[in-house]
Amino acid sequence: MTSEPIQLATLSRGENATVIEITAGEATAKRLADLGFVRGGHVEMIRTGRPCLVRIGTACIGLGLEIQQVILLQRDNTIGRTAVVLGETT
Amino acid sequence: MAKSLPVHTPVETQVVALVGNPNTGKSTVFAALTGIRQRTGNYPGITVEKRSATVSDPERNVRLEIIDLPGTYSLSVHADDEAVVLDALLGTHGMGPRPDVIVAVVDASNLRRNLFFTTQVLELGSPVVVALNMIDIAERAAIDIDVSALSKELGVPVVPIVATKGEGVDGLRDAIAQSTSGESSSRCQSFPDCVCAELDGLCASIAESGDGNPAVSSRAEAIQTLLSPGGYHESRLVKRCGLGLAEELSERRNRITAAGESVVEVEAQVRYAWIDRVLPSVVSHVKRSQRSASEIADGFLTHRVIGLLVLILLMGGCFQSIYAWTTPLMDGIDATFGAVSEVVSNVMPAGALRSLVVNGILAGIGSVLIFLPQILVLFFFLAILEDCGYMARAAFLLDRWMGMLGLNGKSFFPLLSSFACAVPGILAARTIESRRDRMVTIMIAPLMSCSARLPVYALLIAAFVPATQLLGGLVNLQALTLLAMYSVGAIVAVPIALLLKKTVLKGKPQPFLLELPTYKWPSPRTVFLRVYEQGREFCVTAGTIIFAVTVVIWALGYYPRPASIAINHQTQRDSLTEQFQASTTAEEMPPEQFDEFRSAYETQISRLDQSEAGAYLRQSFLGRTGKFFEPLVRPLGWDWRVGTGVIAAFAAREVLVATLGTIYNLGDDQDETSAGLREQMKAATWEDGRPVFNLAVALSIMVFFALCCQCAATLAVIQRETQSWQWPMLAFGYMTGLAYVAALATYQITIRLT
Repeated sequence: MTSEPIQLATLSRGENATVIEITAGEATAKRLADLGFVRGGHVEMIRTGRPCLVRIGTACIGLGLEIQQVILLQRDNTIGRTAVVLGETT
Repeated sequence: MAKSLPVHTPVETQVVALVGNPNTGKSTVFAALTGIRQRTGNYPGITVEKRSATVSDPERNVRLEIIDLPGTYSLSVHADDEAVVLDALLGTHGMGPRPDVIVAVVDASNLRRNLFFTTQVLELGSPVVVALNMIDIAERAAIDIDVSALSKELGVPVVPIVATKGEGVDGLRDAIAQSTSGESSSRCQSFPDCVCAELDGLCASIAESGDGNPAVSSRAEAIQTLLSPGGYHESRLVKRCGLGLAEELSERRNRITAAGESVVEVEAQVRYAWIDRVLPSVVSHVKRSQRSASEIADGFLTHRVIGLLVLILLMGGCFQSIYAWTTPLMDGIDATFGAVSEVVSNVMPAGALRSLVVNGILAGIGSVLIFLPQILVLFFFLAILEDCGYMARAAFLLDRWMGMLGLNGKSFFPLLSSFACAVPGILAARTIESRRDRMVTIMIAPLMSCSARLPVYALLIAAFVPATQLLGGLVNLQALTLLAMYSVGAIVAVPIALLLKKTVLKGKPQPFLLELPTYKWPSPRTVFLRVYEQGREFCVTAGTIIFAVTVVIWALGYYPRPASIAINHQTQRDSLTEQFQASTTAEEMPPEQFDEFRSAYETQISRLDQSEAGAYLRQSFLGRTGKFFEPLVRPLGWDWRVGTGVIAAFAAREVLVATLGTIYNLGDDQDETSAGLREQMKAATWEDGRPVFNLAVALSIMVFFALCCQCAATLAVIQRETQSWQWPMLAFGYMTGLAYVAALATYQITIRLT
């Protein structure tokens, strides 16, 4: 059984997650990709809200609500399921 | 191919380009390499600031022209200022010669993200030196970097530095000097086969268009064109090669997608995969301390309530300090100019020339230069806040509020810069990718209270707002008024922005995406340079434009000088003197009575002098213009002299103070130049003897200047940035209308309340 990817906006503070998909337009998607938001990238929620604050790699990045909605993730405490989903998409 | 130079040939200037992510301390590295010998200019055709400096280094037998390029996260770009970077690095599109060496400044504490851009730079075919900056911050965060291993992996020299302290900068100079005759970097990432095939094909197509770039540049350009749909490079290449290329690109992208790769993600995947493979052998976290100081600080400073409170307190503190710290300095400047004027008045014979020097030149420059201290202190605070990394937090905190205007947090930087000067603020708006957000930001930026308004506020507040202490001496009413004047434009900007978004600028808002850099101690050198640059710019402006306007205004107010006025007044003076002499010599009078007579006589003479000066000014070119407009400005409580000042300040607001100085000096006793503009304004009266200036008039003038767009430089920059005359005309029109109505309301309300 696989769980649906969740939006970044639904992560709680302190939670870690893995990027599954970016559903933004090309310009935004390219910008996000260059900053490290690519499939398999690890994200930690530092402060929720609008904008929220996330850590990706060593960088700390503020993201507006629109972007939080286009970053789809899998919570990291469900590693097994993440692997399944990754296997399906790649 | 190595370019080997014989040791004794005359040194040619080598071009060194400085690149890096934002917030890597690039400007600090630039300052450390160049000192204050830098000059700023613009790139041809666009208004992105170009900072460069030429440095001779006889020790290493090199002469370097170092260019500081705008900070960017990637070579694929959607904003204009970042577009400059790839062009400058490739030497394409009229961006000057291709650099001989590229210095990639990298934040050691944020290596993974920084290396993404570095791997792009390594593919440009120029020798590269990596400056591993802020190595001290990385060490404090327990990040241990094996510099030689990193250098081996990247295939270029890596120099650890702490630019703020100047550590390692000599090593960086060595590495640059050696690289000028060194090998080009050749580390290229290998893309999946399906992407490679399309890249090769595109390179061939670009080469056919015949712009003569070396193949390796074409590859970098091809990557950024092919893998960044709708980006800057695509639109420009299509413009150059025709619509056929647009079709070709879309076919190639379709083939990549069909092969199972994501066009927009593949570059990031390839590069980050390489970085993640390399990093473990280069970086070791000695131990991850629980939370870094930066994270702890952010716990408070990015907090929705505490953070916002800190932000408001900080800004309030800045403005209070600007007011409190600069008073003695300003008084000093005032006294100096007063003393110089007095000396000149005594030395020079009376006449047009003395009037020009004392009332035109000295009064004009003095009344502008006096505000230099405040401008320097303001830029001192802004430079510190920016250099330590706080500005990004401010943008983060304010995004929610900016969102209510339909803007995002990125509009905060341009708007905040506009508090210093709208010109850099409007230029800073280039970082906003969305055209709509950018246009709205540009249109409301001139509403922010720039430093040119400060002279107007400072003069009027000091003269007409009582220095009452409120809240037990914690707040000064004058400082509070200053804060109010600074806020009024920003507050009015809210409905204006919403209105613009609903009418001429419809569309969708751009999402917020901003990195919060690690906090660091501000570099004294960077802060000093910012303040020095701004101060110099202000003085140059004061010394040229404002000076020229001052002299013209003086001439307009001095000429014509019809003889009839002089003759008429001389006749009256003569008859007064005759009367006085006749009445005092006709009979013996006691000394007390003589003194009484004499003082009455002197009062009448000085009144005559004033009336003569007033008569001259009223019929001067300037006076006639002001008189003509008086009915229009009278409801605002202004007399024709204020109206005249406002007209004269059309090109630059700070001219108002200079003009008022000139007008009031001319309209007063010629020998009383040291009394100061303030006192002279307090003494100015209407024909019926009521004082012209009171609190209501002062507030009305300040509100007008807070909201008007009397700045030729701002209008010219808007024109240049928008490539149209409509926008600057709209800005001038709406702001002048707004200013008039607001000043009218302010005057009419205040006069009824006081």
